[in-house]
Amino acid sequence: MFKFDIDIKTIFILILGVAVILLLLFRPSKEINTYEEEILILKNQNKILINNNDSLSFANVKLLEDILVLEEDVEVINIKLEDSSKEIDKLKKKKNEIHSNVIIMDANSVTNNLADYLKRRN
Amino acid sequence: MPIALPTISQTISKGEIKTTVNDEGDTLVIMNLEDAKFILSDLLQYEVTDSLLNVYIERDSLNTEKIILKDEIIEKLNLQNSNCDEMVSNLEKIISNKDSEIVLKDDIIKQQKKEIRKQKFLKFLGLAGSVILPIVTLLVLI
Repeated sequence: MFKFDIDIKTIFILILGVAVILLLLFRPSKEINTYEEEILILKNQNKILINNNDSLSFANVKLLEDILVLEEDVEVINIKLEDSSKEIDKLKKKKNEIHSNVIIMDANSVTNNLADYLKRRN
Repeated sequence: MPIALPTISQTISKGEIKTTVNDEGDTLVIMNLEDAKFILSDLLQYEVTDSLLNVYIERDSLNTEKIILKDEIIEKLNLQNSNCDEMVSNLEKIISNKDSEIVLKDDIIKQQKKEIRKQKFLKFLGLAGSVILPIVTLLVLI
């Protein structure tokens, strides 16, 4: 069988070596930094930003509603403008026809029209 | 209603206007029929021009109203745009915060991995020691 020839010095060195290895292995482990505070601050900042975005989004919806109402008003005005454009065309046509209509009038029509004009003026 | 005789006989020449007082005391203005037609034509044209002017004035006020409304729309669209810009900036900040959070969490994971590796080694060492030490002891004793 094996025969160990170990003197006191060797045993002491071995014990010291083992002690050093054990000290190295079982040294208190460094605490893991979980950055809880930093992460919490970032999360709170994000919460504030998300709330701010929600408010902005709500404001935009309100603005869009207002814009739609204004656009409807503009559309109403456009219709009125179209009507007035037709009215202008009608009046221009009427104005252009006046001379040719008056030229072919007889004396009675002229006096009647003049009388009508005076009535309208008064 | 004034009545004129439908006659083509005209003794008064164009551009000439006469006034007479009849037996009833009325003052009569006499002119050539063609001149009367010119006057009537001009009067009717002025009347239509007046109507046209009114329509143009109305149109002008409608256009002014339309411009005001369009200005309001532009103002609101600008506001909406600036809100969107702010939202984008907020979202970019959120992304940057999330990135920072990821970096921190990556660091935590790295530390934890290191610790797990160490614990695994210790576990292995403990297990090995529990087998090897008795054998060595036995060998020494024998």
